Amino acid sequence: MPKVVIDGIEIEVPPGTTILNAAQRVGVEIPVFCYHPYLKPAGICRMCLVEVEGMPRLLPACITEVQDGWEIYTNSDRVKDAREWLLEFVLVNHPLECPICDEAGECELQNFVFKFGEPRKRLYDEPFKYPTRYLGPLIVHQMNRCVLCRRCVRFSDEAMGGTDWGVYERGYRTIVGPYERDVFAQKYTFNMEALCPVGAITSNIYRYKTRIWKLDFTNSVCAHCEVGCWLDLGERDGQLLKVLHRRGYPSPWICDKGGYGFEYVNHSERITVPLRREGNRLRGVTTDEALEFVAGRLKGLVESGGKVAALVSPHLTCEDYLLMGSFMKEVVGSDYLDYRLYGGNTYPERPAVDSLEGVEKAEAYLVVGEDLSVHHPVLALSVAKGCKEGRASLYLIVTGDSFLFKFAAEHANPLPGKEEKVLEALASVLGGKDYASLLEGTEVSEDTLKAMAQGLQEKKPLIIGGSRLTPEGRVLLKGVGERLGITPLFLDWGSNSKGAFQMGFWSPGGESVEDILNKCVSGEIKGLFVSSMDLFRDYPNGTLVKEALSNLDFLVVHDMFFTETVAYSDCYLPATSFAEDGGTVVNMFWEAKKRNRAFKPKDESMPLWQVALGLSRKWGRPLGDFGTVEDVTPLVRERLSQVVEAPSTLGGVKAAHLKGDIPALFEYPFYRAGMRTDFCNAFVQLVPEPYVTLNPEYGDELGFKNGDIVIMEVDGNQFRMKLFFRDEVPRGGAIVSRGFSDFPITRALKGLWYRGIELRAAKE
Amino acid sequence: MVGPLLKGLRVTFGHLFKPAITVKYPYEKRPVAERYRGRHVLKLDEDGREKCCACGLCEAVCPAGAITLYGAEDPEFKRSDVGKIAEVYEIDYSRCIFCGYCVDACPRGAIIMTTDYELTVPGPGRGHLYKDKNWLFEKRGGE
Ligand code: SF4
Ligand code: SF4
Ligand code: FES
Repeated sequence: MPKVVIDGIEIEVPPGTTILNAAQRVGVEIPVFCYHPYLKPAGICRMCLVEVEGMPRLLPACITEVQDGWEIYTNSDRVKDAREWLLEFVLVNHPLECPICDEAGECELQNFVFKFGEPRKRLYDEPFKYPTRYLGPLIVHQMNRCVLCRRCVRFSDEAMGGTDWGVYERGYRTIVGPYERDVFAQKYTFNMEALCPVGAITSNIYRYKTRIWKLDFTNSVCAHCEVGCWLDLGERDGQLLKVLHRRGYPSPWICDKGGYGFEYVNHSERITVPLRREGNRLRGVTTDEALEFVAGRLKGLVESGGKVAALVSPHLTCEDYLLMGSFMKEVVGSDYLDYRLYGGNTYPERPAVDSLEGVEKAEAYLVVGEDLSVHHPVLALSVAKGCKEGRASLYLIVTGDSFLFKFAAEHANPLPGKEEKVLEALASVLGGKDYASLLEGTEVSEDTLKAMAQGLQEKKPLIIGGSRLTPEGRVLLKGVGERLGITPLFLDWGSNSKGAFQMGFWSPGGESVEDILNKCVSGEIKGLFVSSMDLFRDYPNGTLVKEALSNLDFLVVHDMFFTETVAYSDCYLPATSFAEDGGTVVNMFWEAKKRNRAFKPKDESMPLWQVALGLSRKWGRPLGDFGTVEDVTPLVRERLSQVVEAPSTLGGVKAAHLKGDIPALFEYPFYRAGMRTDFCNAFVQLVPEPYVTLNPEYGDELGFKNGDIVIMEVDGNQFRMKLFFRDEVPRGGAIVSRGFSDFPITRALKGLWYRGIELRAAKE
Repeated sequence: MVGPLLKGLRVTFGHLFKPAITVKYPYEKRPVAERYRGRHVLKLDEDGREKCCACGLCEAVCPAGAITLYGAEDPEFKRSDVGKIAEVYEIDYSRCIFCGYCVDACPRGAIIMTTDYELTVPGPGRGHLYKDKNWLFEKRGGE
């Protein structure tokens, strides 16, 4: 192992270590711009020059590997001069606008000039003046401030597999940015903003709001999906203004939902007082009165023989599920509770791998039944990493995948509703059975499938079963796994489905949300408690939801906004956002993580566990004496270590209704997936209204043009929306967006994501 | 016994014939020093645009924590020549210690202190000492 001396400190490092990494080990600081621990070293900026005894020139520390016996100086006069000059050169074209720049306070250029620069400027020349580019609601790019480190470009190439964000022109005139796009929102844009060492890329959401040193950062866990990325929530005066991601774990990157999807917390339409129905209006009441009212009515219903059910969002904390579950089961005596409000009918299962590193290690991947980049975005990056580096091969059986297809060795893109047929065919190929008939009408060729089967047998794959899979689909995938000797990793909707399951927040009889809603319609269930989710937005059967809610005697909604579900309610209780209360969440690898409270709940808002506690007190059978969420956590921890058996869900799924001309998949666009994204202004601007997408060739065949307004007809319901052409949509099918609380698109569905639709041009 | 009494009375009567130090405030005001540090004023530039660019240095330097500042964008450069203005600028005069650090810190000379020291109004409460941006822009006192 090479031995080197850095500034007089001797250290032995493994061969291949760069000077920079060796210096970091002994705690010697070397300033860097282009180096980033999670990007490949590039050696572009020369900020990291150091002197090595006996070498005629200074060497860039970030790309030079140490050799035995080197004596390295990071603080000699030559190095100091070099740094000063370099910073002076950078500043020739850098506008001195720190007072208005949002990066000030966390700017690496600022820090380095303070530490290593000289307060002088000898070349007074007119600096470049590039226009500020507002690249959509997420980021702003100001080329004037760029130090040409290319971190953003390298991120786009290395992690995202290339976008049109690149380096243009040469030398002195180099510019960075998107080539032709006016709106840059590519699912992982946040990382480019975070990577930029200066203020060249800044957030449009946080733009000029306040200064970074005025924010208090609290560590928390993202509430949008199961990956459960760590976030640092920057709060000032009870408002969540900025999110940072300061840990390299579980992944150095996060997605835009985590980085920008927090605006709903400070939304002006938020209702923070309880409301109680009086005739046709909802009147504001005190919390005490509201809880008394709810507990009294529920008690009345139960005493008169009616049933009560609870449907709760899968984005809450384990504490919430635990106490609400105990309240429903022990106090109310109800058997109907559920968290799978997206309409899935599966329960979580123990995973085959235990971390994203484990995922990255695999040699091959088989992904079935989910566009990973939409519902588990950071997992998609991990899968892409190995494929991009050529270490792993990726096989997809996904309808309309919008990100991973770039990396796929084989991509089966079945028509909507046919993913599981193709899976079945794959199982038959592996089992040496006849499969041609299974592929009929799926738009997947036999060659693709054969190549896939061969690839899977050659390398040991990691099998990922997406959240769209039905229980039958999971059985099939497990069959495939058994053949290859692997347990699949199954994904779920929601950021804490695993926690909800483990806390026992499901009906012991195995009833699904659909069963519960049907029971509301039939009148067996008379009271319903809904928390933190708009059923009309997320549950894929708007007609059933409407019937069920109008048929109820009593509906309580615990939410943050006046959604359509609230319009049906008899009592509204204000909910807290994820930033206002702590708790435990369980991520996709069954790892329990702790969320911290960033600031006090607004006005009367209460987390669900407090509601449950309050209701139990009013009922006369208090659940216990809990002051803060930390008092509940030990109970949660205990529950998490127990083994929970799920009831069987097989046979509960009806066939997809695919009559109509075009089979369609209803899927969230990326910026609409996740929790309350329709109250995040930036996301609403990006995806303002629902749209249909078709494959360009197929669209031409049907005689449509990109950007047309069309009428989508389902069961006589007509929806007017825009039509776009996207290459990822399978030929002969359509993908319709969903996740809009102000557009009743779930009325077109019957409990599944698939539906046959008819399309025709709208008359002007 | 009489001696000390007379001595005391001499001081008292002596003052009767000296000119008075007090003035009849508020009918009469004492002159203040030129560089007196009274209430703040936010300046406008020649085009009537706000000079403050919400850099937050005054807020950061204020030892009493009297300043609250939130910025906003002015994309059309109507209210600011750099496109950034203070959306909220408040000084809590019940906390301000009139040290003048904010004036020192301001890189654009947007905040100055005037010789105006009359901040009280009759009546109970201290709420009126919480001054907002509009008030700070008003041309009053020694500006
Ligand atoms: S925009 Fe930022 S990250 Fe990109 S090259 Fe310029 S300074 Fe580097
Ligand atoms: S939505 Fe998922 S992937 Fe994105 S930041 Fe949140 S936890 Fe991470
Ligand atoms: S950090 Fe080494 S060259 Fe940029």
